[in-house]
Amino acid sequence: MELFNCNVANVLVVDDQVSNIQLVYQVLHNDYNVYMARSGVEALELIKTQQPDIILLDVYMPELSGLELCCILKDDPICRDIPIIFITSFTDPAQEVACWEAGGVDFIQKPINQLTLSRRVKAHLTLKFQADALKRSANLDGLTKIHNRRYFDEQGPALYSHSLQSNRAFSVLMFDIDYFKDFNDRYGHLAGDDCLKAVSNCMKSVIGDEYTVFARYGGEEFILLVSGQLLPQVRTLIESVCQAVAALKIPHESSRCSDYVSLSAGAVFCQVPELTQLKYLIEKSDELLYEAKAQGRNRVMIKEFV
Amino acid sequence: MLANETANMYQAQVLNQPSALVRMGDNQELYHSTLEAFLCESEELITLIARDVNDLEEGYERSIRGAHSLKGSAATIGAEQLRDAAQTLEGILKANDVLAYQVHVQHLEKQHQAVVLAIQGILKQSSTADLPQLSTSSASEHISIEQLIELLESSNMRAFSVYGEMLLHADAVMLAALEHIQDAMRTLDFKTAAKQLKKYIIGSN
Repeated sequence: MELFNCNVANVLVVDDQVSNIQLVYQVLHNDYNVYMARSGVEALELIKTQQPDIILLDVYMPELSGLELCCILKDDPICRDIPIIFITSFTDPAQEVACWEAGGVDFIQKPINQLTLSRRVKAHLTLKFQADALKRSANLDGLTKIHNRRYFDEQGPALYSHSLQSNRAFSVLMFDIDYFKDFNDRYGHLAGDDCLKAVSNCMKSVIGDEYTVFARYGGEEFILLVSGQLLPQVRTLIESVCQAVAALKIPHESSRCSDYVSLSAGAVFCQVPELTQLKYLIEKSDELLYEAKAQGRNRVMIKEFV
Repeated sequence: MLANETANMYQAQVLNQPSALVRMGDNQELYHSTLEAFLCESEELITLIARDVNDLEEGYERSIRGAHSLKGSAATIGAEQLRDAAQTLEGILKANDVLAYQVHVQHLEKQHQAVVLAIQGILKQSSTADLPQLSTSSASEHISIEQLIELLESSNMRAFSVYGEMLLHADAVMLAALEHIQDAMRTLDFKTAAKQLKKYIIGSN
């Protein structure tokens, strides 16, 4: 069970009134890191660099109102999960409805009761951290702790559309551990599990996080999506991954292509992603992986999509 | 003694301290810091309400916002009559009732003056009663001016406590630098404070 430490939470207070920000700060400063913005525009700017865990938002502000800011954040995939509590002195039920509809999770009525403020913030932070932990856990492969197929199915298309929108080259790489069934038969399934863990962690350490999606695709198959890298860079990356795994020198007596655990890989590089579809590129890289296996394994087959 | 009692009765009429203190967990220091913040802010709100109402639509909108903000600030410190006056004025402004506005804005200003006097009385009493300061940062904590700039640039409210702490322990040179950003700190304009502080440091080197 993951433990939560709310004390490291970042709370953002957005209010055009200095006294309100100070009051909230005085109540919360012993428990959280409190950041502030004096307008909706200032808040949008700040959120780019200081991702808050929760936002306390005044409804009535000049230029960009709290309701408008809330709608903008709820439309943004990166900010959508940040809970927003409205701080309001409105008594009009229609305004209350507008706050719920904008995406707020709760209200704190002005004048602020310090206990209500601190308890509500704590309650929503706890819920947020629990939801985050569940999401992390649902997206990780239980054995190897790298991302799983579910994560790939969600994030793969997102990275692909990002490539399409920004007109960046896109590659799909598939890897398979050579003669893994024979490894399990020779050394047992527990040793097989250890092998999978070692190989996946090694691959992860070679592959960067930026503009990539890396996941366990099936039993001993891994998939990697890379956005914005040119063909020579992709070739270097795929070779580095295979060499790093070979360098682990995990003995594999049942392998017919090496004394140690090795990888076969199939990859397709696409300079202009809008000419094709992600599904097709995955199929193509799978075919190339089979080709690499058919040619004796422990090798890389890479082609450019034309 | 009699003067004190009269003053207390007067304060009780315009400020419902018990109710505000209940909301603030009976924290006197927190209440006093909120009163101080009210003193700084409310003058500006009153000016905003009075000045902008004649200034076509945009100014009108600002007046409504001013009345709305004053209503919230007054409620926070327990100034219930002022809160009610601001609420009424907000309604009058929304209804575009110019005649009623002229009468009511004067009433609001009177209420505001009464609250300001009451607050000044409370803060004066508390300064002689030697109340402990709000503990916003550890006294032993040593923070450099560069760290303060970093906190300001990241809009971290800790800059506010650190600033207060540094003011208390500053030598003459440091005090001059810190006083240079006093106005920006009062309005929590951290970006300007950081820029001014950097400029001041470069200028003094």
